[in-house]
Amino acid sequence: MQGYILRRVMLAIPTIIGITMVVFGMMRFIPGDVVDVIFGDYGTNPELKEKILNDLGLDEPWPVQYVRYIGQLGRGDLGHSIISGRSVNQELKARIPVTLQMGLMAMVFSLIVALPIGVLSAIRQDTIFDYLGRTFAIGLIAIPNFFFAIMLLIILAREFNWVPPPRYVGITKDPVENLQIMILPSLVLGAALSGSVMRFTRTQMLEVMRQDYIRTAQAKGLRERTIIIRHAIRNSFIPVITVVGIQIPVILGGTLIIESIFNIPGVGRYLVASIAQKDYPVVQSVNLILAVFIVVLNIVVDVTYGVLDPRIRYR
Amino acid sequence: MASEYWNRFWQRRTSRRRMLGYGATGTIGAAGLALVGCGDDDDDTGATPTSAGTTAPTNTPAPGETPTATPAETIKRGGRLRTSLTNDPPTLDPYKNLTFLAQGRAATVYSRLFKFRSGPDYAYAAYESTGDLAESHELTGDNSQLIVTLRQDIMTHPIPPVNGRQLTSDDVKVSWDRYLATSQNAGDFNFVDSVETPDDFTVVFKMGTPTATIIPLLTSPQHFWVLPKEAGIDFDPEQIMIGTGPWIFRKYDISQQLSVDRFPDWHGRGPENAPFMDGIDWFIMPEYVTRLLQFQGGNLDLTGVNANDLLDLQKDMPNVVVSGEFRALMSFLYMSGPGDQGALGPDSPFKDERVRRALSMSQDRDTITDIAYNVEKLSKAGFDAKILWNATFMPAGLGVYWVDPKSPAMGDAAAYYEYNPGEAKKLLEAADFPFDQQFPLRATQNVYGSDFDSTRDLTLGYLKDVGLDVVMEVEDYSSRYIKQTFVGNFDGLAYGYQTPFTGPEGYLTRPFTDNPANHSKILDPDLIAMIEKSATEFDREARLQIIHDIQRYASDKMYYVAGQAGANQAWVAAHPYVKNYAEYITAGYGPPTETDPYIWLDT
Repeated sequence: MQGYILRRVMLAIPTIIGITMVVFGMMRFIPGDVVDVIFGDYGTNPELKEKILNDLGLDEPWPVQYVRYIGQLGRGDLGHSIISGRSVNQELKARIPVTLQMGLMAMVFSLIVALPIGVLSAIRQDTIFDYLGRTFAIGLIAIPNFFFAIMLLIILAREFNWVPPPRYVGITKDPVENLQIMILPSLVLGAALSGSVMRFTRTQMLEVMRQDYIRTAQAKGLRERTIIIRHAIRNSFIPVITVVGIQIPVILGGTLIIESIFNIPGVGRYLVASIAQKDYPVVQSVNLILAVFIVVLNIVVDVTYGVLDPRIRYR
Repeated sequence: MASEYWNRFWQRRTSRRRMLGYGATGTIGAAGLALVGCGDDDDDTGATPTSAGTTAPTNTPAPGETPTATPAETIKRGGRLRTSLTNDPPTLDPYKNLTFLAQGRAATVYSRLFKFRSGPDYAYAAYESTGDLAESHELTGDNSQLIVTLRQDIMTHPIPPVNGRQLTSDDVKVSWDRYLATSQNAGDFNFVDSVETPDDFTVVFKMGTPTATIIPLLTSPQHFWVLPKEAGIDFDPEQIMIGTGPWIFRKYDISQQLSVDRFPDWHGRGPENAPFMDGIDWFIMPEYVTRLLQFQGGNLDLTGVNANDLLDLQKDMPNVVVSGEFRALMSFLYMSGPGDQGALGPDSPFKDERVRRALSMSQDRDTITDIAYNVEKLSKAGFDAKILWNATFMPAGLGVYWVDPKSPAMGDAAAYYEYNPGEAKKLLEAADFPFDQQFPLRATQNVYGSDFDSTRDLTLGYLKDVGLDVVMEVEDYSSRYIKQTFVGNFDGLAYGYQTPFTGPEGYLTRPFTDNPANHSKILDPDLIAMIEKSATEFDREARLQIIHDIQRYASDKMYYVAGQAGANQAWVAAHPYVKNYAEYITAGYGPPTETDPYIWLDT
């Protein structure tokens, strides 16, 4: 197991380096540069523009800029925003917990909804429960999350005169207000995930329920509840974990829109604003952090898979 | 309930001008063009005294001495105004970035030498200068020096490292040097040779060329903010703001909130002891829908509202006070011949003024404005919605500086603004316009907002209606449009916004003089002479007259075709307990200094 994990980590390193190169290059292939953004239509001073490019080191060849960037990363320095001058490390330190909390809550919401309905839909196949569950799942997958978010806010504001507080408060500072702010975006983010997990859970349960060992359990006269809980669910959930792991980047992607709509000061909103402003260091660093997170998560999911399924052996 | 509201609405309207382009405090903004200088055609003020035209010391009344809309004894003090910003300020240093997000925040904490007059007796876009840090000022006989005497009661905020000390001319001088070294628009003061401070309360601006725009520029909230001399040395103005303005910087939580508290020793507090509120909280909300819903949910006290949402808002919240002022935002159709030769180049199909007039007459400005800004429906619903036409080359929102193309004041050129496709075709035929040639219409998309995009498309349609073979060519804003087309390096037609300025100078020099951003490379010696004359005319009325003459002349030649994108009212909704903002709102980025100190909350 340890050797497997070590190999996976070693393999992740070139992946991450490749990601830094892709992101670094892509930001520079996008037409226009950050100085144009800073100047906007006031931009009639070529000398000042040259000076800014020079100050920011953007007049150097790309390989030089890339090597300098990698050197910074080696020192744990993610750089400073070109637009605001603020430290990316400091920004991310404040924003990552916000996005993580939202992602985690979204995951919990989705599983709370998806797993019971998925299981019920499978064990009551082709009944009204099954049809309702499947319709519900398809509905959640089909509704775009930004539309769902805006509709939710409009209904709450118009019909109940309530909207989440305008300012984010940390969970340790005021848990109640934090939940007031975070519950809706988490719900919206979790909705799409719950649809796909629900459908996958149903499929897996149906497959497991047709296995010989389930038939054996039934032949032995075990109660249905015991068969489902002790034998079927555990085995059907193993592939579900993989699906949930794969869906985490989808959740992170969703934060880009949802954080803006719900005014959550997380990583997604930061990334959106930085892309619009061509703020290279921020975009590079946020993408790098997200990439590392997803790579690590994939390793964790694979390892967890083995822990849950004793048939899997890592070599 | 609703009828009561609308009665009140109309009473307010007929009694005096109304509010509001509150965008300068952060609630309105569109793609970085959120400057909302606003004209006001129903202003009741006729007083336009000039501080720039004097040659003797002029006492400039303290802000607190201007009358308030509400008797002092009824003003309730305290409370915090909750409003919004459309994005994070890229920096808190007003010299480092020219966006409204940076400049508008400077107005909360910093002061200028002069500011715009505000109050019930002053129009929204009157652009009258009055003293902020300046007690008085005087021009020498040859107009080559502006001598500004500072107030002696100006205290800095009680925060280290300044600790409430007195502000002196030394602060102005140090700020000036830093401004020249760092600000992107410091070049506007090229005519100032030096700034001297003979004593603690006197600042002398020595001009190489006597220039009448010195006081308007020193008043402009896009230019010279005075920071304590410790700025950049003992504190980082990019991270915190410490100044002499009406509000003390409290905190800035990135992407969340920027807050200021009342400064009780503000030099402009007057006998009424402004500011009246304890502070202001700006919540940073990039999404329009979020701002609107937060307002509807009661978490914001006021917010900008799109014209298309006003009717729904009126239905949902009949007690909310809604009104709007015209934005000072100039869109325009411009032209250039092949090889970047400009509109008047030898091979340009647009060099004949009949062609340019025809292009203008092809445009149905009323219909374009109505479609983009929902004017007719709003009027029918009782809103004070109007259509004004931008002029060549002055936005309708620039109030006193603008000549109304619909009015006799525009003279014979008024005919070229009327929608007259038949006459437009005749003019084009008479000028032998090459109808068989295809022209691109260069413009951006999804940069300035949907209203810009729809007016652009309508403009294109009207050009086709008179026989032009025009195709849309969408350009990337930063890599192509702003670098090439906007600065006149293109062929064919283009449509875009002018940079928003809080005074007329930029609208004259940019498009008509030897400026790097002369969009159509128009260099008419007669026009240049008029512009130069306006810059050296120190009498305000005479200068206004020249500026109006320039518009008449440029409209007659129709060097640029004024567009209707931006010629709309910026609508703002406020809960009824928010008082006094209508009476004090000013155009541009200055409301935190000129308006907000006088707002009070009837809660």
